[in-house]
Amino acid sequence: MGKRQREEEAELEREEREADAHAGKFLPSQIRNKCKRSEAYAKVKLEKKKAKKQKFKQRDAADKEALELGELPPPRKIPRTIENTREADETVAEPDDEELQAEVGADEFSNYFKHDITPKVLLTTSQQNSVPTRKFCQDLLAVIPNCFYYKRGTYNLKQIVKYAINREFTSIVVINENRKEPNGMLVVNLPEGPTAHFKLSSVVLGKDIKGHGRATRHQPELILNNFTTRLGHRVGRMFASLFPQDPNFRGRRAVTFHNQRDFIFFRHHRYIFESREIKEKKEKLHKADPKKAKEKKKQPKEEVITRLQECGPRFTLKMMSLQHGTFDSKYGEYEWLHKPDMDTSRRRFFL
Amino acid sequence: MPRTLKVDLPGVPRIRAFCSDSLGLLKVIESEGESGTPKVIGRWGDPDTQQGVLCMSLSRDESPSVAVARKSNTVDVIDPVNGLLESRLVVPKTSAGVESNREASDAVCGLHLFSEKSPWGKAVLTCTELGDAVLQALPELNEEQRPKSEHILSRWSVSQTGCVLCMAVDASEQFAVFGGKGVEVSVWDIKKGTRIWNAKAPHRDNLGLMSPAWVTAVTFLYEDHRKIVVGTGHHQVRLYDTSAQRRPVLAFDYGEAPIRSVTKDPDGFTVYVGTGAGDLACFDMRTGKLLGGFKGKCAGSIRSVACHPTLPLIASCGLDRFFRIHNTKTRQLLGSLFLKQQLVAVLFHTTQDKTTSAVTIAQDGSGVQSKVEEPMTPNENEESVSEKKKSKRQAEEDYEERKGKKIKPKKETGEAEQEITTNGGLRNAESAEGAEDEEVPPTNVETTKKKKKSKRQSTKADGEVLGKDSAITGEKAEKPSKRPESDESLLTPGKKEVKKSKSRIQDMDDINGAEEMDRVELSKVGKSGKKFRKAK
Repeated sequence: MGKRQREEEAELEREEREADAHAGKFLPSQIRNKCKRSEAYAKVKLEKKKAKKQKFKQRDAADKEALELGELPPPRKIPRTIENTREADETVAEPDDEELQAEVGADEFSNYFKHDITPKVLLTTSQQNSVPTRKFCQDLLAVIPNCFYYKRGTYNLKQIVKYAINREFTSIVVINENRKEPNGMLVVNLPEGPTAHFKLSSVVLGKDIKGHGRATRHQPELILNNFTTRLGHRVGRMFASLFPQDPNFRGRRAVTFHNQRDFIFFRHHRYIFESREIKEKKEKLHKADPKKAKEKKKQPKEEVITRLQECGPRFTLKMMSLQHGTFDSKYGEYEWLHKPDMDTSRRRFFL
Repeated sequence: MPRTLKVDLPGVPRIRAFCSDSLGLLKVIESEGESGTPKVIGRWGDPDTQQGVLCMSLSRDESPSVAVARKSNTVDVIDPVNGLLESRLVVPKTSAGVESNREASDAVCGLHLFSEKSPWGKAVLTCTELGDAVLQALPELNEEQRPKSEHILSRWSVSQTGCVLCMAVDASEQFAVFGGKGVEVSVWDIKKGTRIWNAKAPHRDNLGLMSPAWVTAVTFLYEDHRKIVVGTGHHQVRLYDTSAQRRPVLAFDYGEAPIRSVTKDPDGFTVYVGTGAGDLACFDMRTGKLLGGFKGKCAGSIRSVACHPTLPLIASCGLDRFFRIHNTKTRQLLGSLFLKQQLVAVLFHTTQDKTTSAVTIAQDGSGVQSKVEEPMTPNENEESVSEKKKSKRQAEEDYEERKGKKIKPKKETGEAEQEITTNGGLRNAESAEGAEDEEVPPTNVETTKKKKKSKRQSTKADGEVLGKDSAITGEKAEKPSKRPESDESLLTPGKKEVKKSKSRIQDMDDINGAEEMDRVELSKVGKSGKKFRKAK
């Protein structure tokens, strides 16, 4: 439970108490015997629960009534979340902005979107690497098409960047590790940059996902969610430049980068549209609810359903810096660098 | 309700500024009233990456023009009032014979637009990364757009190797300083295209390693061309005094990211330094001490910093696409503006109000400019300097009053300043020092005066030598001869030696000879005493 929610509830309770006291009611908190107090309190709580249930029931009934009358159901209240109460941001990119389009049309990634270049990715690890990192790399190889794993050896990154430019790679992905766990990801766009450094966390390999599938070699579809600001737009384009821009829809593979509160969640799925008969069993299940069963009977016996299967891996990224040009952590120029004084509000996001 | 409001910024006094970006747009930013929010009121140019801006320069005229160097190797001179194109010239390409392994390109890395009162009228000095410095007169707008030999007033090559990254022109608009990656700092006489001074590589470090030259930002400190502040890619800020030695007289580290911009304050000793990691700070170049950092959630590299000539304001912009205005006194963020593109350069356009025009002109440095042409006694110049100082203070006070904080005018400091000016003619930097150091016991002041007296003779001689050095073209010897006192503002140990040794060569006629002698004697000095003083 969030702090705000707690506070709100506490305030509500206090108000109620005050109202009760005003009306001359006896409050559970005034009882000194703990046993009796808890009894009284349990009663109050139960009443509250009932009231809540009643409220929802009424709401559902109102919805249903509206549906039957062919009207729009009464609007539902939108819960306040951190995302929808985020600080006003002037950097949000408007799609119809002329300047944005002009820049996007000529930036480092524009060649991928014009189909001039097909991405070719070099994947490697940190100099000291262990089995979990290499396994994670193996999973990534299955996700990114046209991706090649290279043993890191003792080369430094600047050497690798030069090598990769000569071999016409378009991106380098480096997985860093700490205590034998992958903890960092560096994405370098070639040959001119930029370079993004992400913190990598919550890594789950495909093998460890329950009911996981195996990815095919088709080119995946790409889903980039919620990259709204100018910086987010750029980072989103950077991710897009790792994948070919002509997805093979027959493969029904989808790769998702979902941004929420500046955390980028990576998921890899396979989906399928299935048309199948409605089984008898299902009807039995609905017998308890005769109305629903009737509705079901009205529908055709065949229906198309969408099923989703996760292929893995699963991980979360958080951007630490975006550097202008190729990798040069010491003498490089930063386009965006996370600094502690940015973290003064929970409702400020940059992507 | 959760707190979703932003903390309101205090607001910016009335300013007008220009910000140029990688798409070749020039945006006019204005804020109205005493504490308004800066707004974009005009956008000049069409978005085109081929026309991306590389450098920007404002002439030091009464009605200045803005010059903008673009990626397409053209320089546009624009009227800053209405954005009309005044003139367009093409930067000549460096002829063949360039080594292929050089990382430098033909891109313009330095630009300066001369005022009409400069020795060659309205002209543009450009420098490419290959080190090709060209002084060109402005052609008519209708002329064919290609470099013409008759427009080129002067042309020289700054460096045959390395990559030139920065350029600055001094207040008299006769000298330019260059620096870059693999190019040590060097001062050039613009008219003759000759090098008059160049820096030496710093000493080896404690591991015996040389750090290769990598100058990323350069500016002249105050109005004479002898003190140069330099920022390096190795996150070091250096102060060179060309009249003292060829190694830095002061050097200190700042942060861990390469320094991207160095801008002087009109007060003559403060310098604003911006780095590649988005840190902005000001330093006192007399001591090398950090005066303070500027906060404001600067997330990206600071490419350019501009200092307002009259108000205590600086504007900064860079790769995080924000234009920010800070107060230099409180170091508070006054206003910020998101300008969508990666920004390259920022300039203040001082509004030419009838009441404030005198102030702004004087602060632009063009006041001094006009006086270079006609002979003038040193006293006059000093008066003008003190006037300027006063006018600046007045402007600042006005600003403070407008903000509602009335400050009592400091009578004592004013008197002290006048005394100084009538006495021996101190330059601005020093008078400011005097004004600040009121608490300094009188004995201390006396000692400094004695020092001055003892030095005066030697410095005069030094001035003469340097005068010959630079004044063949008819520049008056007063300029150099009156400046030695300003050396005091940056007293360095062992300086006396230099000056004495310099007085020995005062009867040398040949400039080159003098230069050589300079080198010889400096090398002697280098052996005799430690010049390289580190702040930390």
